[in-house]
Amino acid sequence: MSRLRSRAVSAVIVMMMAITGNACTNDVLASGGPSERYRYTAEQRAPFVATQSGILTVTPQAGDRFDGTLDVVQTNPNGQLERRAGLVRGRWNAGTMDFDVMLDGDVYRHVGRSRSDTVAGSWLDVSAVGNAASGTFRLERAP
Amino acid sequence: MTSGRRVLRLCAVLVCPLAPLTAQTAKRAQPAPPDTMVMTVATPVRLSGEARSLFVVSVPRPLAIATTASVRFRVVATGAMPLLGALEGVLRPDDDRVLFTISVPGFARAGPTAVATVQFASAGARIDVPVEFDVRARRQILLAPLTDLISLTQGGRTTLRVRIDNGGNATDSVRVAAILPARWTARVLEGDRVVLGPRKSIERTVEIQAPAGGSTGAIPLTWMVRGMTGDSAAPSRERTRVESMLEVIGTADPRSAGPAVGLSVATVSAPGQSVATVLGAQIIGPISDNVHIEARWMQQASAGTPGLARVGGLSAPAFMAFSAPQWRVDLGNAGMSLSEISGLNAQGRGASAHAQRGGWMVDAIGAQTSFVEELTTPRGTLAAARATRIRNDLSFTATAAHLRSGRAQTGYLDALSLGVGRIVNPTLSARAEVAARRFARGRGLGATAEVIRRDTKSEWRMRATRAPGGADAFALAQTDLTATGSQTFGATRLGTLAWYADDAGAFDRFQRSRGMSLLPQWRLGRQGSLGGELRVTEASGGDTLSRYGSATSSVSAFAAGVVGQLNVSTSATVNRALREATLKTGLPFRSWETQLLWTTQLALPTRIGVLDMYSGLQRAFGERALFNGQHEWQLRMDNVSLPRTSQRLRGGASIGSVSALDGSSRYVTTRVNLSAILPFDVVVRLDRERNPLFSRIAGRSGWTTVLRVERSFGAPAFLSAVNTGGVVFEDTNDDGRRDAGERGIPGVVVRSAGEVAVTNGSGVYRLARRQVALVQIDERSLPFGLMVAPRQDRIGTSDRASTLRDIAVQPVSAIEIQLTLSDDPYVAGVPPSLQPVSVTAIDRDGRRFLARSESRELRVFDALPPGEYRLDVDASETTEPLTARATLPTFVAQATRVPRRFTVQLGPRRLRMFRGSAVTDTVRTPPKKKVP
Repeated sequence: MSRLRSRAVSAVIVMMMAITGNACTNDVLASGGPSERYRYTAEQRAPFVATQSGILTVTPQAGDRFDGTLDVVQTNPNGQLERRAGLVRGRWNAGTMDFDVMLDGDVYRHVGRSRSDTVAGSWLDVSAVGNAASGTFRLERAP
Repeated sequence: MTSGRRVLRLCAVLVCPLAPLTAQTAKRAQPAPPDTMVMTVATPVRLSGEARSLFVVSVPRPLAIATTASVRFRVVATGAMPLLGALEGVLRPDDDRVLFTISVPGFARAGPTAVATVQFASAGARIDVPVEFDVRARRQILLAPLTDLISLTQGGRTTLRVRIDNGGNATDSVRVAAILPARWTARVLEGDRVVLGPRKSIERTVEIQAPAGGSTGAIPLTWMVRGMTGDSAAPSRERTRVESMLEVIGTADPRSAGPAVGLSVATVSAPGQSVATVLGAQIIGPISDNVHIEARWMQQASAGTPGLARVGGLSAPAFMAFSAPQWRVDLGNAGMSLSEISGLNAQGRGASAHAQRGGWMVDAIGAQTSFVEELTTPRGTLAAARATRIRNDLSFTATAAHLRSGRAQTGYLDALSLGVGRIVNPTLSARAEVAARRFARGRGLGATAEVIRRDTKSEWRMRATRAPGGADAFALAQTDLTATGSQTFGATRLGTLAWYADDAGAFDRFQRSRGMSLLPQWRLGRQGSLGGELRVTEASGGDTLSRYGSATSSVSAFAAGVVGQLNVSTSATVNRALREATLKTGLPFRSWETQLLWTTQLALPTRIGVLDMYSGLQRAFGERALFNGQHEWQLRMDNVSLPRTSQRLRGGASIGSVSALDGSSRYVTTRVNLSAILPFDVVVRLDRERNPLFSRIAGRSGWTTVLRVERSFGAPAFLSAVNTGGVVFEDTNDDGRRDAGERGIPGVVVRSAGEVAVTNGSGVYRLARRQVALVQIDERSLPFGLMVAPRQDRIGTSDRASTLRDIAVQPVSAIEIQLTLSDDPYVAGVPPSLQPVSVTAIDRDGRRFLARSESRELRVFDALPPGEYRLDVDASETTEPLTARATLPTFVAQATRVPRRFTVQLGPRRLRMFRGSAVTDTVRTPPKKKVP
């Protein structure tokens, strides 16, 4: 019986992978407008110094809201590289870009001021219990 | 009219409750038929079916008996199977059959069996109708190795015992085989063919020969039992299969006891990046009697192979570490955390070292920071040293640190500190430290203190730190106050957490957070728990350009448990959150939103692995909420051994999705991996990941693929030539010494300081190095019924002059103690639970062995060494204090596989104490006068 159940579970996984493998050829099913890409650089100052660089892609949604993705490579002080990616939710508000990045279960809130094609500000891990990671970031519009 | 048509097979629920009542009624109504009649035997009624089932039998009135007359009947059981229902009575003219039930026992042997005779008597004639039941054959063969860990040396030979059980109801003929990799041989010494009667067991000895020069480590071993087709030699289908592992240990050659060297080559293909080939090497193991090495190097690790780091690889900077019992040196990737005020998380490339001798410890680091992507940033310098003196319960530290990240305003600290710590008692400890700190924008005096109290039911920790310069100067924050605690009250556990932290740095950067949390948790049964959390947090931060804040109040509940084989945990959280933002040149912003979060996690063990499932639903409410909500799920199964590959082919897969509730976006992530062990111990691993969050090209995401080939082999070491060894023997007289006639035990694994050896056919083991560490037996490798003698489970070989160490093992005995309650009226009404009763066996030397609680009334000593014991029963924690009613038994434990059982009857104490208004029988005696 347990062998049959194992085979059934395996079959379900394979079928789901096959189905979703086709589905994910079009990852964003719908969007509110053309996406914008920004070159993202950030510096973490606590609890240890690290840098992050990558691409932030945002797609306008209803009203002043937007969502998107962040794909960064983090460099730790010993030179170790770590690639991280997550979803982005945020809004524009009178020249302020206020958005959350969800990375590996943590929520990093970013608040920055827009000037021309750049946005600069600071970020904080608002989901942390106790002392939180924090730092600064900068966005430059990418071609 | 076949018997099969007449049989109605009903479930036990329908038949059993009615049958006894019917039988009693029939007995009262009619007498038994007389025996002095003309008797005729009719054609038998034949039935067939499975064991462990109930059958309703219908025996028709014989045609030779007139249908107009009443007929007396009696069902006479042969005793082969229990019969239920009306077994005596009268058939009225309109009744044409006798009905009763056969209960076929689970242990009924296959084949036809006479069950009963139904006697019909009428008008001086009697017709007997025999009833026969043909029990269908049920075949069930079980195989179990009698040793948990099977081990042998390269090129060596070992024998082990396996037990074969026939759990079916018919004699079975099977063939036993052990399936091993190429060049291995296995044979059953008594012959591989086994004929077993039902409910019988037999043991067989299997001899296994490992190839010389073969690989070491874990080797899959598959036991297979095939049925035999009649008397022919051709085996039929597979009856059972058991997977186990062999541990192959290198021979006691100093060269093979050296470090293991591994080489790997990986090809990485990621979207948006060119295909890269990455070489890697690692070395792990002893290079001399006392020095151990661990080193790793990977090409392009620093230059960047994020695809490899993402998919089953390791992109870490190169390092080499040497360690010995009293020192350790790290080269390459080096790091050190001194303390909250003298420098945390100092990491870079260089060297760090630790040494200890007597009551002294010294730590030091010298390294450069490395931010490879910012070539304009100069490399920083990390130099620090710390000395610690430990004396009795006190410790003193002195630290000097010069830490520079290479940046102008951040990562800058010069510190000199002094600290003291004290272990007040086994449950309470404290430490404090002060430091003069100089950082980029000033200097100040830092201080930290911590108190920890920990016992079996509670743990409390309080820490306060003031570190001027904060995170810009290798600290967590300028001010950090944290208190955590947990307390257990029976099945309830209460956890608390409170914190406050603030920090400020260059460019007017500031950060502040505070909050508290309360976590009650209850244990439900053995495997369940229920809990909740109340949490209030507030965080704010900013710099010269912007300031922002967040505040949340949340209530959550969670539950976890096991349903059947399914592990389930779920949690629900209601979160009320405030977002604030203020820019110096913009309008302030402030909004509230409510969030609901529900997560569920399931883990289902299956024959091939554990299937993990996760689901998370997030919903947001509020006009200014950032989004409506999202649903996230994932299915994952890792480390799956593919069928019929003898665990040489393993795989795993996961699939997950995140989608917005309004349907605006959906991201599906897929990962698969496959690894294979090829000949010559070459391991090939393929990892693929498709993650739309990474490297999107023209709106589509591609696969990241890593193909890696690895090979490990042994390397020589600088080891002394003197061997340590001894004999593992069965100490039958419990004197700890090997006497004449005490046999050596083959195939036992002996471990010491990372080295492993296996005893040969005479029980002799050899270790390559002179051991100054403990020599221990891996008890999993002991044959069933043996254990390490209590006095010899850890043998120190600090005596360098002697290199021979014999290890005694003893046969064990299983003893069961059945607890019963006396019929005393004090306990008969509301009998106290026997769950809290503990039973201890005490040997002649006073050593105590506590029995395991198998059930409320049964205590079990699984493995008592041979000897004479007396029992001690502690029933003081029962609701009604109990004592043994008779003298507790003494017994002699002898090696036997069948547990022996003793009964201990408990009852209330003869002399009972009453409190309050209860009547007491006290003898009043006048107080004695004091004589001056």
